[in-house]
Amino acid sequence: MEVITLRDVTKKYRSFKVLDQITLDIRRNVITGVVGRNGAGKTTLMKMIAGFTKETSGELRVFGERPFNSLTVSANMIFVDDRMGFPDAFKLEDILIECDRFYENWDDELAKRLLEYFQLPLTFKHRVLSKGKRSTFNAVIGIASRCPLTMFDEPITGMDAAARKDFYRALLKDYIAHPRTILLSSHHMEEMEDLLEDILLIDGKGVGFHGPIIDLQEKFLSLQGKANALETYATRYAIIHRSMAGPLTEWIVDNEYSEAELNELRQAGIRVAGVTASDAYLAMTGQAGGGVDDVFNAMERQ
Amino acid sequence: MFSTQWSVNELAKRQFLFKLNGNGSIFSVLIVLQIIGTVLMGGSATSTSTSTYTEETNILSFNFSAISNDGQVGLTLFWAFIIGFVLTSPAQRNESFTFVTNRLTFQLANFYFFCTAALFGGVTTVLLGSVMKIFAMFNVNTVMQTNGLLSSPLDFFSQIFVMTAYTLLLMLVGYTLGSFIQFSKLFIMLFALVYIVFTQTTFFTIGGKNIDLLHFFYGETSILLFTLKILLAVAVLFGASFWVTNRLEVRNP
Repeated sequence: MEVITLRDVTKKYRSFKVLDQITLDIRRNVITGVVGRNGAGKTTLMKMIAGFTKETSGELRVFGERPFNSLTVSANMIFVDDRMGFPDAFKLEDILIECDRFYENWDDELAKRLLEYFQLPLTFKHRVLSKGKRSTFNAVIGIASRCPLTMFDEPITGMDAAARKDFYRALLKDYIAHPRTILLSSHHMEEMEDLLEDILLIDGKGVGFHGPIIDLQEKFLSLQGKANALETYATRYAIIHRSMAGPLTEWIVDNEYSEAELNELRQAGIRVAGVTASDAYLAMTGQAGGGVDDVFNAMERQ
Repeated sequence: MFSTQWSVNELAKRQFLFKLNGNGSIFSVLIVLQIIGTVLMGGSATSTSTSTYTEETNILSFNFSAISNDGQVGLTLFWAFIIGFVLTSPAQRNESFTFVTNRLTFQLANFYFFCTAALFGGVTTVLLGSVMKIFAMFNVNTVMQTNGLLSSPLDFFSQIFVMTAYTLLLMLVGYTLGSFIQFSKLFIMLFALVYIVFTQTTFFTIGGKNIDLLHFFYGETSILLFTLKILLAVAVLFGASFWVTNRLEVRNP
C-alpha cells in the first residue's frame, strides 16, 4: 500500500529546475531515509509532499489526494525541521496545548516525559532555545504527534552526539509501538543506518536510488589492493569511486562480479569486501574522501 | 490508512483559537495605544469657543467646549490597518502551517480573528468616549450635554456598530494589500501609483464635489445602506485576498 506516489513530478523555482521528472512510491509504515548532497532537492521534495509548495508538473498523491490545500493530508502529516514556526509569545507548554488541539493521535504524556528527559523546561519560550535544544524540541513534537506520515527534515541539526543517539532511539521505539510512514533526511547516514528500511537517494535532480538499504549495500563492492594490481585485474566493471587508504588503493566498484571472477581477484592479492550503506551513498554521490584531493593535486602539478 | 478527517469549519475554528492565543499582544497594543492617545490627545482634541449673550442689564458668558474622540478613532483605524497587514506576514503563515490547515481554513481563521479584533476595537473606542467624559468632569463648573447608553441607547449601539464596521473594513484593506504584496513585491509600486492617482489628481472630483472612495462610506446616512456597502466591500476584499492566499506557497525559500 502506497502512502506517497509521484509520477513525473517536476518542481521549478522560477526557471530553476530543482527536481526533474521524479517517479517513486513510498510504502506505508516504512522508515525511509532521504539522502543526497546539499541542494539536491530533499527539502523541496518533502515540502511538496507536505502541501506547502505546489508541484510544477506531474502527479503527486499523498493518501490518494493532491497535498496542496488538502486538509486530509495536513491533518495526517507533520513536517519537522529546525525552522518550524511558533508564535513568539508561546512557551513550550503552550505549544503542547496547540499540538493537542490539532493532532488527534497526540500523546501528551510522552511529549512531557521526553521533554523532561531532554531537560527542556515547559516554562521556556521556544524562541530562546538554543539551536540544538530547538531541534530536540521539534523532534519531540514530531514523535509525540504520531501522524500517519511523519517527515523529519534534518532533525538533528545542532544536536550533540548524545541527543542524536537518544532521538534515533526514541523514534525507533515509538515507531515499533505505533508504526507509521516516516521520511527522515539527514547527512549523517552512518548514524541512522540501523534505523532505516529504505533509502531514497536524490541525486542530479532525480532519484539516484530507491529501495531497501540492503540492496544499496549489495550494489557495490570494495576492492583494496596495490594500485597496479587493481588496474590489471579489476577494470571489468564500472568503477564508482577510487581513493587512497595508506599504501593500499580502494576502489568501490559495481557488484557484478561472478564468484569465479572474485576468486581471480583474491588470488591477485586484492581484498574483496562489502560496503556499508553510507560508503555506498558517499561513493554514489561522489562525496567519499579523495575527491577534493584531485583539486589540490592538479594545482601542485602546475 | 489515515485516521483524521476534519471539516473545514472545525479546523477554521481551531485555527482561530490558536491565532487568538498566539496574538494576544495585538489586543494589549490597542489598549496601550488608546491610553497613550487619550492622555496625549485628551486636551488637544478640545475646541473652545466663547459666546457672549447680552440682554440690557445681564451679561451672560459661557465657554462652549466640544470634546471628541476622533483622535482615538483614527488611532484604532490605524491599528486595524497595521493588524491586517501583520497577519499576512510569512511568520504568521508559517505558524499556522506548522499545525493542521489549508489555505481556506487559514483565511477563514484570519477573518474570524479580524471580526473579534474589530469588535474589540469598536467597543473600546466608543467606551473611550465615557473615559473622556470623566476627564472633562474634572473641570470645575461643567454642565455636560451628552448622549450616553441610558439617554440614547440606540445611538450608543449604532456608534459601536459603525466603529466595528470601519475597523473590520480597515483590517481587510490592510490584509488584502498585504496579501498582494506577499504574492509579489511589484504590487508595492502599483499600490503606490494608485494612491498617488487618487490623492494627487483632480480627475475624480466632478463639479467640485468629491466623489472619492471614502465618501462612499462616510457620506452614507442610512445605516442599512451603510451596512450593505460595508458588507459588499468586505466580501470583495475577502474574495480578492483569498484569490491570492489560495496560491501562496508556504515555507518557500
